[in-house]
Amino acid sequence: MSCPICEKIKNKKDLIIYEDDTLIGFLEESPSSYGHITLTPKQHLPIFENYDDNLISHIFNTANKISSVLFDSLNIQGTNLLINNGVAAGQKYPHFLLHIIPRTENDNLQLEWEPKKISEDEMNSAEQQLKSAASNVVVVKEKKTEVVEDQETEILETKGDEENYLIKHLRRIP
Amino acid sequence: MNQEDMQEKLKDMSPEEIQKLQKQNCIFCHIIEGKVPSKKIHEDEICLAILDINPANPGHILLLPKEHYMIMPQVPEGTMAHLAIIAKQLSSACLKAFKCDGTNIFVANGSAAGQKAQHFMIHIIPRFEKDGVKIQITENTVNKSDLMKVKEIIQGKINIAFNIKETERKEISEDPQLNSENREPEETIPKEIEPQETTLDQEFENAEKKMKETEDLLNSLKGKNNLPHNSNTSEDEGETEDEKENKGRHIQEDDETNIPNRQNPSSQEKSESRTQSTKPKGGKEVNLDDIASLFG
Repeated sequence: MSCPICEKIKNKKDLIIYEDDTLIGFLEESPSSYGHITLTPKQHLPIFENYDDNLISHIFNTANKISSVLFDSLNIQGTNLLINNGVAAGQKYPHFLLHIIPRTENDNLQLEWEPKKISEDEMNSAEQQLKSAASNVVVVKEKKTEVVEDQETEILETKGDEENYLIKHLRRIP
Repeated sequence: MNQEDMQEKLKDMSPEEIQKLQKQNCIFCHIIEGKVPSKKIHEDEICLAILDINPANPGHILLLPKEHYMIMPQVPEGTMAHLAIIAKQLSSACLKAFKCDGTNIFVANGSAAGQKAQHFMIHIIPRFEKDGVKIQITENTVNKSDLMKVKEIIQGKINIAFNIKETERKEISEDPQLNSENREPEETIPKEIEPQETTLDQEFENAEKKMKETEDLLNSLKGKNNLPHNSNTSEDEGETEDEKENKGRHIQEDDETNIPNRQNPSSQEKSESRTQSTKPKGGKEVNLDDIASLFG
């Protein structure tokens, strides 16, 4: 069985906008809005939970940077990051994808949900169920220190830009 | 205090002071400090996960960094990595706890993107078949040449942001088919073009024009759901783009130092440069780095 995403990695080189050892970013061929990018690991695995912590961290940090770049280079007012994890959540192919979608006011994209009215009992039971399932949520220390080291060097390099970006953004959103 | 006074005051404040002010008015900072009650799912020294009181589905989790960041780009890499790992584990906790069929991991940056509170957060939403939650990716059919224009604008900035050098990118996007087609032009073109200052001017003009066009394009998109479609031209455009890119990278290496001397070419030149398919585009792909920084 061939995977359409893996095929794309092989055959759609002209749409690649970012690439490193583990990740590829494509300009989406059928975009929600111009500048819509999908970021995907080269390693073929179906869902979020299959990937190891280092890669997940790398995906989020890369997506974050790309989202800033979109904000800087296009005339947009925001970005969405979206992972559709599982078919019920809208996932199409068994290969993890992260969408980075540029947003403008009134662009009519269907990315917001109607809040559901949920009784206090339901909330409480959801809390209990989740709490027990999440009781063993930890970040392994070894991996964390690795990440922090990386971060320090990168921050030194990009600090000037980040501050500019921050100030610019503060002015733009009242 | 009226709005103008407030704005005046904000101008004089440092980013740190502004952040402090925002923190005082942030409901999620109050939740993190324990001043406002919440249903906590997970807490550690960096982050807090709580149940959303306006959930898309029961079990909808908000994952918050304890530090006050308005939007994602402000979050430092170490914190982001931590949040990502926790998000993954919370997502799998959702799958376990509710035996749900999937999860959405969602981030909104800016009110246009649906951000409601001024505190960065990651939504983790349990999903079930036919649960009526309307989060879907809209797919629009677009003209490939438009897509490539957008790509050119973004590519330069991405290369800067990730410190990707053109030579590296060349290796990465190496395509045997393209290379065999373009090997000859790559060798001959630099010699032809090097002495011509005007080509660079044209390239600049073209790039500026392209940026404007694309901005118009993006503006015209507002409120529209269906993007223009033109299937006739898409194939051809794509191929020539690739040719141009390959040639352009080569040109750039030699001519970069000449760029500051550019002048404004006449409008006639502009229209000419548009029809010359190979030269301007190719150089531009690279020059966009510089242009992008000019537009800052």
